[in-house]
Amino acid sequence: MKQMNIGGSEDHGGSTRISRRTFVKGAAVTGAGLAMGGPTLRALSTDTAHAAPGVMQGEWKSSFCTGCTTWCSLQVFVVNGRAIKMRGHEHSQTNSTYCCPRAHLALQQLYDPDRVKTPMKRTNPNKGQNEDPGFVPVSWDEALDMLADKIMELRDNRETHKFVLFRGRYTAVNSMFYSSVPRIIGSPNNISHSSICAEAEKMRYFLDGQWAYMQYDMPRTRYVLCWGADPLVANRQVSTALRDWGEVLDNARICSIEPRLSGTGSKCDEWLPVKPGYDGALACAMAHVILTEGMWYKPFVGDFKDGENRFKPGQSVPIHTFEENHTHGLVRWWNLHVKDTTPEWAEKLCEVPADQIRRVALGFADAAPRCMVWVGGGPGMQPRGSYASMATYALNGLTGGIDNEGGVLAYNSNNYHGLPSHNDFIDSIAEEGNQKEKIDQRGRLEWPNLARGVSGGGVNTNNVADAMLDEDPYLPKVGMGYFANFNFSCPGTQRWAEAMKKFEFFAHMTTHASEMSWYADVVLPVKNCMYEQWATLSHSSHKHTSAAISSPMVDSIWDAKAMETEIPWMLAEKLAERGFDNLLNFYKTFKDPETGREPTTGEELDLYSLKIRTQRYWDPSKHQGGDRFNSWDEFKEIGCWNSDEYEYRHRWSNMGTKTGKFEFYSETLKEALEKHAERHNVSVDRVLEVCNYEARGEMAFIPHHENPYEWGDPEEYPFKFVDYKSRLNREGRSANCAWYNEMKDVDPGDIPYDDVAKLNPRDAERLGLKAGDKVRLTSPIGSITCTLNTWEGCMPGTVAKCFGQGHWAYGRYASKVFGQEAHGANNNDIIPADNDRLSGSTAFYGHIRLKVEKV
Amino acid sequence: MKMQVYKSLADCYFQPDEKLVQAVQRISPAIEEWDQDLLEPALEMQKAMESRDKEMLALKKEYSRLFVGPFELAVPPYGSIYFQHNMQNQQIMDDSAVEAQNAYRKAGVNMSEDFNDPPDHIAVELEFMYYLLYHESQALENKDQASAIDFRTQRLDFLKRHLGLWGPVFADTLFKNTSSDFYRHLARLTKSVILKDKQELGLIRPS
Repeated sequence: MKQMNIGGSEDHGGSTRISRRTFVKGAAVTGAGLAMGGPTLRALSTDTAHAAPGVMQGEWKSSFCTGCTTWCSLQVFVVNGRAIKMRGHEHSQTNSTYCCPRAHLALQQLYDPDRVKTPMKRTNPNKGQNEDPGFVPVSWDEALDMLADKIMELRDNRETHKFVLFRGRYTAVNSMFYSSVPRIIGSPNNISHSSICAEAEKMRYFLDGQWAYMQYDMPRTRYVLCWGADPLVANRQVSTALRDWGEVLDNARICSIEPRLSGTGSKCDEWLPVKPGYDGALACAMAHVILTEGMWYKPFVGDFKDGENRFKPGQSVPIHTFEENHTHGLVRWWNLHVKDTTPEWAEKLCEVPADQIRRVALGFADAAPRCMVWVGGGPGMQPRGSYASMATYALNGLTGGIDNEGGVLAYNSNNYHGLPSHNDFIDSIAEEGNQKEKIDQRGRLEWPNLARGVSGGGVNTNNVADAMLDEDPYLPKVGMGYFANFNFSCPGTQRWAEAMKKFEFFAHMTTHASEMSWYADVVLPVKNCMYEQWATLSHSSHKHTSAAISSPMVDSIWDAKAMETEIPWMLAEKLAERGFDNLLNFYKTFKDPETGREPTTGEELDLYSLKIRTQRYWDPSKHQGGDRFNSWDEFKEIGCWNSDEYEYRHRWSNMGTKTGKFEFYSETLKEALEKHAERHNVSVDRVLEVCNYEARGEMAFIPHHENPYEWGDPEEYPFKFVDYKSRLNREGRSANCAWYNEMKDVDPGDIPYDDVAKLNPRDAERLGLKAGDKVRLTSPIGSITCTLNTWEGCMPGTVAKCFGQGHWAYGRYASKVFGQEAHGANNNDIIPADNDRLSGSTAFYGHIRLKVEKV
Repeated sequence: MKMQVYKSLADCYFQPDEKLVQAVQRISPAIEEWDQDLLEPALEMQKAMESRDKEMLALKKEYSRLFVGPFELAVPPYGSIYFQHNMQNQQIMDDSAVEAQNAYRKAGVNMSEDFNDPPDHIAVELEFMYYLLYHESQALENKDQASAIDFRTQRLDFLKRHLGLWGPVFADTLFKNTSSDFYRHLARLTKSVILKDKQELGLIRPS
């Protein structure tokens, strides 16, 4: 044991000699002790099982990462019940032993002294940022009694639809909580975070049928366009990108296209700083070059029947002259738009020089089909962003880099087994409640949210605040939220502060209390699902999917429960005590696949639900491919299953679109828009008008450029704001990790222990500002104050600032003066709430104008 | 008597309830038997508690703010925090917490299943001192000098390497971060008791 010295305390060797004086005194003590009949212990108890200290020994245990949506397979080195370090999972075929910095930060989340330790209840009935909630500890019983009473009140009053469940991050058994609890109670309102995540990126669905994230065949690619994507930092396979990037740099040319120099941009061959909101113009210009130069990939796209390239600038092409192979509508796309999108036209809009557009487009096409456009949230998460998202992705179709070697691939199936259905546990009260309109207004004329082509198919997360404030369609009364902090993570934060006040009762389930907890009536501590419970998540990259499990591998700290299993089980018991046992009976159908036993506790439900979900991996009778394990024990030991390898080109002409082809003219989008219009008895043009798009007529069905919709007069607000993500962001949850602050300069342009806005040096000089100045950034909806850094990596005319800091209630490092002053500033305080309404995505880019002033 | 003082101090760091009231009432008599010099903060605590008879909720709120959360802990009650010299990287469950737990197990105790906090929580370490004192005195009663020396050695070692190091720093932090009379005097008493014990064991020179 090392000698430790704190605060300069003077330390001598000490003495164990028992003197006559202490002996006498000791005897008196003994009398008192005996009189009490033995030591009265509260925190300690006699240890019969472990008579001697354990020997220090370590073991790598299976886990996964919840730091972003990549969900990498991980391993944790556990020594005597304590998590010590992290690495990628040695058995995974995806990220292998590689992991990104986020994985390491998870240790600091686990052992954060500011974690929620016990259920707490609010004692101050007033809610507001200036109202200290006055939380005091309560038992789980008391906390869940309060919640169960509120839910029963809704059922008694036939207003179960006024129950809402907010979901942020989750695990692969989430449906047993997120879907089943609201439905069995009788509410349509399970509201996920998806629309503030990446829905616009998924507009690729209308080209190639994938309402999903993609994997990227990095080792075999020869050209990468990172478009509003920063793969070494964010966007769903960071660990694998870190693993492969050296090889990619050796074998391929890499261009980064976005307004600021990203982390990936610093490891690229070329940076194309595109003016915010003009990605669609740039992409269409590249398409124009590829077509006019005859560089499209003919085995995928097809060719003119006579071999003569008729794609001439400004000239329409007769449709019958071109024969497509695995695509649909190329000539119509050309005739409607691309014939006019010359590099010179685009240069005036996007400020990328025409010759650079031409050179990059030709280099990219020259590598076809081993090339990829890695489309991130940048182009699409803007008002009107759907069409830019589609335009950038369309380049993959032109060059055959889709479902092909060195290109963009779909995810392999994770082969998870389904969980039991809740359908048999929905009673008439619930049935009635479930029929009510969802609180987020999805599917209304102005909210197409066309996830998977369905009108109102996707969530409208950030609109819930407005819906609650307007009480339209109604005002929810009772809410639960888990792994979510919409007060911080949604643009237009003040709306959430007001909306959250309106809940009669809100229970926040979280590892760390946050701005959302500030408005809660009870705060419930949840386990860290990477270390403290049974759980699974899957991850796709490297032509495989791996699914890894976590287990209760560390000694439990504090009185936390598993969010999607134990807490719902305890709630189900409470509801059953009150005469409503449907939820409990539903959970009893989660029988252990090995023994057939019903769960009798939340812990058993936690384990059994995982065993059901992973049964195809470890039960040979259910096996459907990939790694094969012969028993639960065998699988549990390894903890990671891998799919079979991806089969190239199996989706060609089998794309899941209406035509089965890669659709440059999207029949799939046309059908979806027409159905949405029909639902509201209006024309498609009217839908687009209401949803603030410029497209009319057939332009509605093709990728194209739309002028960005901006908030703020350019005269008053001369700069465009560029929000982006830190490579240390565990979404919005890592700001209280000391390493986050200490190592903040791993984000180019950022400074440790600070939260800086970056300005191009020329702009700074013009404004008389210098690095280190305190500046106020003001958009039409509000102001934030932070430190200025001058940085060549920031496009002139823009202000770049990383999202992640600015918590005023999160913990010792995240806040400067707890409850009052944030450390840094939250970008969402100045980002106006707006949307790309076709995808349902919340807008984070392209629409924000601001001014910069010295404080 | 010292043993009872440690026991009562430990009880003061649990969530405030009826047991806290009893613990505070026991402190002064126990201190009178041990060292009159420590009596003043104990009496002040008692006074503060009496005036708060009807304010248990206020005490609970202050306890939560200081030691529980759910937001930023004003005064983390965990040894690990104070053993981390780099104060920008404060985590629970560092090596010192494991070493504390090893000391408990060596002495024949471990964390109670009902106690949901890390092993280096201030209440546990104070209770552990009480536990060692208890067994030391029992050994003396049984004229088992070897066991008495063993328990005393463990007590000395624990004070020297754990509680005696971080306890006073923790107490100072508590004193600075609360306006509650009760917790300010508890902080003073905690520090005085630990320093007095260190003196008695020859770990520091008498002031």
